[in-house]
Amino acid sequence: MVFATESLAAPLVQEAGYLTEYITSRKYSDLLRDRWNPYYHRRLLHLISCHRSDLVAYDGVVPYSGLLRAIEDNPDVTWVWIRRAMWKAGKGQEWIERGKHFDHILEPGDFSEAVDGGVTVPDRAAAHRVGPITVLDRDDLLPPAEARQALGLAGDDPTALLQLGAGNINSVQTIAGGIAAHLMGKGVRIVVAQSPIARTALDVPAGATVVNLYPLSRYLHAFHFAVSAAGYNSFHELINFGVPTVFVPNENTAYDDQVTRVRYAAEQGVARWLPDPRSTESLEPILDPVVQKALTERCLELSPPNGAQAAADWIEELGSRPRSGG
Amino acid sequence: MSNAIPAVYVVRRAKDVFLRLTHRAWRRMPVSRRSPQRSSIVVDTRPIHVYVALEPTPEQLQHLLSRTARQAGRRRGHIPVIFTDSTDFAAIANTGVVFEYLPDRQTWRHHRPDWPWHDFARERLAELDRCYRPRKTIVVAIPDDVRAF
Repeated sequence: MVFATESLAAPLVQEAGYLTEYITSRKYSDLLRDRWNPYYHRRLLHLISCHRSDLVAYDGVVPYSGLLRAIEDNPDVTWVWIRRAMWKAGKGQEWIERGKHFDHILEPGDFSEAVDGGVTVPDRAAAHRVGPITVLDRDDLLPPAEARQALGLAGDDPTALLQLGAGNINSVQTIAGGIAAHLMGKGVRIVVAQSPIARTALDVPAGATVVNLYPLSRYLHAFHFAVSAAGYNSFHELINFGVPTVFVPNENTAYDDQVTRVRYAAEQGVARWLPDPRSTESLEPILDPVVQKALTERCLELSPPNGAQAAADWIEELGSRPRSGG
Repeated sequence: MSNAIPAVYVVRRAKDVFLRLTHRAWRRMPVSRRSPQRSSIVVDTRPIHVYVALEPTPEQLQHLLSRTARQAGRRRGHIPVIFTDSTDFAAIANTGVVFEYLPDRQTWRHHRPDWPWHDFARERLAELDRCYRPRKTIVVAIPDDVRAF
């Protein structure tokens, strides 16, 4: 198996023991922008040829035109689109229509799929579905004391994980900074997760701890609670591993409907959310250990099992199937 | 009741007429003139130089990155493309250059014992040559077994 990715996290995949190829990303290479799709097409053809690929699984929202050309050029390869759901209502219908170029679609589940109003829903019948996918299973997490020791956190003081993506944390003018200042004022120790692929150092308030580990989810039991954005991976890790969380949905995504995902989770009692991230007084309940315990119990009661193994098994089975020619 | 047309209506009508006329003029315009101005950073207006840094020392890589970062920020000159097996992706991406990655020798040998790494490196170099058609290829670091072709 070969991973080919546009992500700067490619070395992490390689460190995990997989042969990893990097495809120059449009995001990081302005210089290629007018030629990126022809470049991508050519790069894919070369990868398929070098690695004698029988199956290509594409994980992304937008099937680029360069990808569609590669599909046309390789009718003997099995093409799978790994298409997450929970798109913002009415957004991306043009990408759904590109699904017909693939032989199969795999839809990783979403805890909040019951209220999914996006354009993937009417196309669900075309997809093979598995449970929400996380990198780790519950058994892979370190116990609280070991996790805190690994992160260099002495004692058992109330500790919160803060992962809100972009934004200067060392300024109360920003959402992340306002939340950090509020919690630190309440005596909570703040741990800020820095992406292993971050290109600049984080500016954090004095006393906050920065951790740069992958996968951070292995250490989630170090925290009494979390304040987090609600992207697919973070959301499902926190819910599935029973971490009491206040979600602050990022509304500025192109497709990912974090608001709907979080609202449903709050309605089900597995998490809390901050509809207005500047009203930090709404954070008060999560400081209560009774509330934390109730959230954890509800998470463990309702969260579905990890769909990663089922997805891997299905893809492996597809790869071993002879091509039917259609 | 006055028969005068309200000022706001006149303004709106004038705006509608203006938009219709300009839209017609726009539709009559040759397509080539309709296109927005292209950015100054367009790959096909400048020659490409490929910098090969395979198994480089940290000093060689650092020197290359500072040199190409300066070049990438210029509007004139050439476009640098770095071809390397270094996994310091964040540092390379920070320079803003295009970079092409080759899995390192040890990793490749582990996963693909059927295909010698130096042969694969040569294949990638040949493909880069076909893909980018560089005006120059500058060798910063290259192992002897890759060079000998």
